[in-house]
Amino acid sequence: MKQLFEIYGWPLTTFFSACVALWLTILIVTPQFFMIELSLRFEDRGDRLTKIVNDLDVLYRDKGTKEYDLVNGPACNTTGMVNPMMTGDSSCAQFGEEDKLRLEQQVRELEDRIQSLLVEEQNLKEIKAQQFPYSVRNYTAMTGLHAWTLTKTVAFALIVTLIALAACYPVAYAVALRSGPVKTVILFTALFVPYAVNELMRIYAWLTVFDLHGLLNTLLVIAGFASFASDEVIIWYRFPGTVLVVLVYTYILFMVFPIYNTMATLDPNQVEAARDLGAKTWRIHWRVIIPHTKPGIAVGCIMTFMLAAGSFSVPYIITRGLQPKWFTQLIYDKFYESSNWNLGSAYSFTLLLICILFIFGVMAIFGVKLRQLAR
Amino acid sequence: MRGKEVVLEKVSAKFGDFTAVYPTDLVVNAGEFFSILGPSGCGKTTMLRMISGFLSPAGGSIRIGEDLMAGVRANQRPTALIFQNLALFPYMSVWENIAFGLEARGVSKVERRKRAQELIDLVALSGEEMKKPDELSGGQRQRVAVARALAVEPAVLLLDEPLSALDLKLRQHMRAELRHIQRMTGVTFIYITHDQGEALTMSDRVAVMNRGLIEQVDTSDRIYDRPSTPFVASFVGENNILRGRITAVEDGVATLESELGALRGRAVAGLAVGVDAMLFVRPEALRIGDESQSDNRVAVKPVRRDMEGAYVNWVLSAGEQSIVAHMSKAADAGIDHDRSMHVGFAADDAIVMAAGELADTGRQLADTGRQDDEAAV
Repeated sequence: MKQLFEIYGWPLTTFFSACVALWLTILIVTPQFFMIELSLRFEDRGDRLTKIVNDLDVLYRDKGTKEYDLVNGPACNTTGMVNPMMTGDSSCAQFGEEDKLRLEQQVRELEDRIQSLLVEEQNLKEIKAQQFPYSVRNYTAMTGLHAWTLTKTVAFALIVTLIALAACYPVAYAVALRSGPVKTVILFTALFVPYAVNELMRIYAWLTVFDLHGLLNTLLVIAGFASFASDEVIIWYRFPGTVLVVLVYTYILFMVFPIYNTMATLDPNQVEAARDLGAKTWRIHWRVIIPHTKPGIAVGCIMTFMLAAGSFSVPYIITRGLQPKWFTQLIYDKFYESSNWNLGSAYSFTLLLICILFIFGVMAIFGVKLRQLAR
Repeated sequence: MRGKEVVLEKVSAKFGDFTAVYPTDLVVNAGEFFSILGPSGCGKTTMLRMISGFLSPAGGSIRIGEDLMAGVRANQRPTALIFQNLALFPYMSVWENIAFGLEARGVSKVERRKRAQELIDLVALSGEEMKKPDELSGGQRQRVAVARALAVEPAVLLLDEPLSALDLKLRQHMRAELRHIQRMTGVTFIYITHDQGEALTMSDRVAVMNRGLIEQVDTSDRIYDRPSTPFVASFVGENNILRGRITAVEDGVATLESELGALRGRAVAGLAVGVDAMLFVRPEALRIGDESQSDNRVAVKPVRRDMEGAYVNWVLSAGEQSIVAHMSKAADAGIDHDRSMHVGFAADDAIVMAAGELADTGRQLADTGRQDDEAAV
């Protein structure tokens, strides 16, 4: 810190320190704290209190309707539906004194029930306020179906990671160690240019391949294995493989570059020395190149896994509702469909926990230390 | 382990339009310590890479022992290469490094360990077996590289300036050690260097290379005393170079008419009267003030006297010509500094050659700078 002050002077250093502090508080610490707090509060959607709140809603609505009818007379139409727009309809039956008394009686009954429920709600709230508010029930409450979805999502992310690794290692090797400077530039550009395109565009592009009238089916039709006329085409979106393919394609760059970067720092003499000592190609890879490239492979695997496991857009766009949801989609639903942020937070933290475990697992497998990853 | 001979016939190398090595014939005897000496860019490393199999010659053939090497890949040749930067495997321990060649040949772990131990003893690295290369000193790493190469029992060991990264003291020590290992094992060593000290002290024979051509192949003594080209004479050791025109060649003694008068020296074969020529004489062959028995006498003025320790370095001038003389401490004591001086040298100590290409001293200086940088690293 003192060094920073000496290099940049106090105004600049203070400014940037303040910016960093602001960023940390507003965008990292506070939201995370908020979410953790939420995830530890269990909202029981089936308990008495929730029921009372729901019942009160209904009762207030009923009471409002009856009071409206008392003032304006009951609405009526041929179908018997209550419609405030048609209250002035001349075809309606007369609203007699008897009816009015009956309505007033009903309103009073409703008010009584509301009163008793309000008392009960008050009591229940007081009891709840005295209880300890936090529990891990949100984390343990996951249903079997959701747990299965989570398992499948993690398994898919693992498969994506393995496919990406298998595809990227040879590419990185070719670019880093096997080609001259000109070739390297060409290969590098070829790798890089597709990734200048927006991620969503790249995903949507795959629809032209998988669509009912897309490239794959067209090829099948041309080959005579399918027919557009009789709708004998394959609905590719139904196959989980489509998500795999697109995930690999979308996140492969995050595997290529770390591997390429570490591999490029390998002294070519090491490879020549190994060859000179009689080693065959696979042994050179196993004993010389891979040990050197380990940190890159670890970083690539971690990034690809986390992006794949946390991917929302790819399963959302590609499956089009024809496949079971991914865990990320479940989280989205919890937040925005069932408005249960507590459970949504718990779900996302569960996924985060699995990703962190994966990081430590990868580091253990590759024998890589955190310091090496940071490079 | 037995060394094999290496025979190059009309071997050449090209990179695009650039000829790195012109067609070269060379015979390296079995069990010989052979050095290829030359400035950087002279093609010596290219030569080594062709012998090791990392580079295919543009023409000619290479034979090791009885076997022609055409089409034989690097990992199948009876050669082992020691790289300039050693290229030890950083993620393997010392013994694993040494045993890597055996591992590649499918030798069992127990046997590998045993053979590695023998080599570890040979290069005096006992106790360091389990260390990683970056935990070793420069000299120890050097020994690991030698042991690793010897482990595959090569008939020919190729060394690409492996000592250049060491500091001076260690370098001198490693020279003796390499020579010792070579004698013990009997493996043919082909040693590449731009450092004449290394080449001259270690080698049975030295080839001096310049611009893709081998100019002379000879023993260290003869390279120094009997250089056959102006390049060799100026590249190896220090030499005073006096230019002139040949006026007579008799009984192997040439007379050169120069700015400093007529000078006499041994004539190399094929020297004709009337051609432009150079006379080379070593600083230590010059005698200052000794006027009685010299074949050649030149009047000089002292410019500088540098005390070098073992000898005294005199920088003298004769007209435009600068002359350097090395005097022993005893001889230096008898010199009268104030008087105008004479230097003399025997005709037998000087060599006269037709004028030709000299070693590029600018490049040599650059080389020395590089060497120092490497030593510092």
